[in-house]
Amino acid sequence: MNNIIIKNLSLMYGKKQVLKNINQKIEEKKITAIIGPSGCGKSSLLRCINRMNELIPESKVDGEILFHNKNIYAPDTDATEVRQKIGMVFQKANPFPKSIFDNVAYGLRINGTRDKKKISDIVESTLDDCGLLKEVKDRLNSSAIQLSGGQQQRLCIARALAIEPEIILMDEPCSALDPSSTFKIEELMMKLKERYTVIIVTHNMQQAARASDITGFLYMGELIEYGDTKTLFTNPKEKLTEDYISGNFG
Amino acid sequence: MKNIFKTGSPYIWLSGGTLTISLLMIFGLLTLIMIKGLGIFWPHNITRLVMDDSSVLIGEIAKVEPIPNHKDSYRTKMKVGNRDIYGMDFRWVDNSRIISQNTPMTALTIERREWGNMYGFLKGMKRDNRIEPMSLADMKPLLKECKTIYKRIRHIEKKEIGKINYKVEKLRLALKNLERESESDNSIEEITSIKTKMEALEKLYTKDVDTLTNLYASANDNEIVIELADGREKVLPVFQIIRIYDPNHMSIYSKTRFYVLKFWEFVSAEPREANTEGGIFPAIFGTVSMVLIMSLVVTPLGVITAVFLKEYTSDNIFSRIVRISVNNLAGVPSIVFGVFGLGFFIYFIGGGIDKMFYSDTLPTPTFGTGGILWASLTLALLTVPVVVVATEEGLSSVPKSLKEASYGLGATKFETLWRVTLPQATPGILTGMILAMARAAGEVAPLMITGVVKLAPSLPIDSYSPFIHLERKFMHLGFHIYDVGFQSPNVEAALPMVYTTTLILIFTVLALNLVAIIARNKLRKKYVTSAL
Repeated sequence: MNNIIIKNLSLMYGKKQVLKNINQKIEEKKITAIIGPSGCGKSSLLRCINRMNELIPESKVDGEILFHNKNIYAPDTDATEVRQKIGMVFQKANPFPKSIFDNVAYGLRINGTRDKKKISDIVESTLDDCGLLKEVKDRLNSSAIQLSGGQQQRLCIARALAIEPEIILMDEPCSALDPSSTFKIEELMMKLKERYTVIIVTHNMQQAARASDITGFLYMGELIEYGDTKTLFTNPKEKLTEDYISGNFG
Repeated sequence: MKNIFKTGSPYIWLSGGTLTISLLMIFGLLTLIMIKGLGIFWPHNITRLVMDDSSVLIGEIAKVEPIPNHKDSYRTKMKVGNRDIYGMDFRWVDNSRIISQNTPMTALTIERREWGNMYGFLKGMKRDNRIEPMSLADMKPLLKECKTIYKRIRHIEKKEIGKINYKVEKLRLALKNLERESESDNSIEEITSIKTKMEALEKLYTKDVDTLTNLYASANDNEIVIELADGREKVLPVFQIIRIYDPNHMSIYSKTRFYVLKFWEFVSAEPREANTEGGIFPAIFGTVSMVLIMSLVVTPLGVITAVFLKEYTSDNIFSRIVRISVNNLAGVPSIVFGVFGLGFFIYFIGGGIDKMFYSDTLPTPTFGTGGILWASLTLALLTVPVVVVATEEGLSSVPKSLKEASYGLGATKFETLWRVTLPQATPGILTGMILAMARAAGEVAPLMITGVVKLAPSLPIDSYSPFIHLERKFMHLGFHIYDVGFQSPNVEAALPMVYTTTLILIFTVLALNLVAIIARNKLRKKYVTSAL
């Protein structure tokens, strides 16, 4: 089933065209990886999916992104509602300078949950889902800044999960982490895909090959090839894709 | 030669040297103020000088300096006091004319309620044209008694009569209203009842005045006789004496104790004798309350402006012009703000308030004249650019990634601002507030036309409802310095007060800033974004 359908999407930053006419269908409860060389527009594409690119001044979107068959760029759609349903994890872990508990509870409180018991239940269960609970159980009220880089990134994932989105966008979540933290996050992604649709942007082709079900190759703002991960890596249809995955450029 | 410049050390020396010069100047200023200002409460020894024309002077030696163009000759500045007799407090004498100089043990310094210090010797108590000998220790109970009477008099004058006046004024206004509005039977009844109340108050007032007359009479019962330097005798009512002491006889311990008590009086008491004696408490209180009211106004104003400029407008011509204009406001001479405050706040807004709510008391203005509120608002305008600039800087320092994290969770712009950006920018905001407070506490020119007075009859906060009287005029340390130093009838005697008041002003600003700095540092620790 298709959860998100991107139709003829183009993105301009001022006069610079970043994405050209992207058409893509994202499948539900699968991990979709987007790979490509630096500056090809992978992160921009990801940010288009939950309208985060709007925060960049002078950005302009053409085309449609359908989410539950509704265009998220329609004038009557509220960006904040879109972002609640489509959560995001960033390249660099960015926990708020608040306590671990408050970090996870942030989204709940923003969205109007007042019941303290409920908040605390959700915080604990999400932290548990992310494998963080047993590491931080006795210091939920200490600052999130004191956690290690990998723990901070998992906390950011927990923070995104707490408001129960349907889709998780991950923008190179492991690029600043050591291999063992990367492994933990990948493990977590596998667990997440049982309940969520995950789209991940990555530099690391091994990671895409290892962890994703479907891969898209983006080059100079165009989606060159898109399909099953195994096929794409073993038997790419396009010459560009082959050059890229074999390391001839990029 | 070339190598020396390549090592870079000349630049280090240059920058280090400039820093040293700045620090030296600041320390020099502080040391000067401390030396001149802290000495005045110390009980100085009394010197007795016999001159070559066999005249005698007693008093404190204030200064010895060389006479210009005369080699090896000096002159002495003596504080001889007794302004009521000699006409002035200070006298210059040529050292060459001094025959002998000593410090008589029994010489006394007498601080009086009027006419400044008196220096002399205690002859005794005056009883029916006789002089009974007495010692300094005998004075103590008498002084204590007088102090009680004085306190009682002050209480009646300020509190009781003040209360009666306040009530009478209220009744008078009510009466005026009734007489103007209607002439029904009801109102006639009310008018009579008000009139009876006023009469009762009138009686109370007469009673208080009688008590006062009696108190004054009893206060002047005791009189002592003082022998002056030239042997003349002077009768002095004990009631006139605030403090009497023999500095030449005092030990270091009692001098220190005296010093501490005097200093406490200085910061806690009201001024006397056209501000040249007594304390400066109303000025400290006025300065602190003015600065606090100003910060309460300027912080929200500046922060909201900065938030709009930084978060809500994009970087276009309009916002750039606004930003430049706001920054330039900081350079406008403060007196211009004073004139604006007078015209806009006092005459326009204050006058408007008077017309709407206080029309009964017109033509006497209530808000339509200078007051602590208008002065604070004027200073708030003056300091708003400082807060705007500092807040903008604070907002810029909030990492973009944090805002994105908040937006990514579905927060609106305002929620992000309120929960993430502003808390993160608080240290910057507080920095702005600190700078604004420092600027406001030192500003005098705009205050002179918006509400500062030489002597305010009452503090802006007291025990009568509504307790905080923002329309009242107030005293200010900066203006006090100007007034005491340059407008006082007895400038020379008041000069040390100028230094001490300056010192207190500096410490007040320091204390206000310290509170804000401590708050900022605590917040900084709380909002460290990265442990790395």
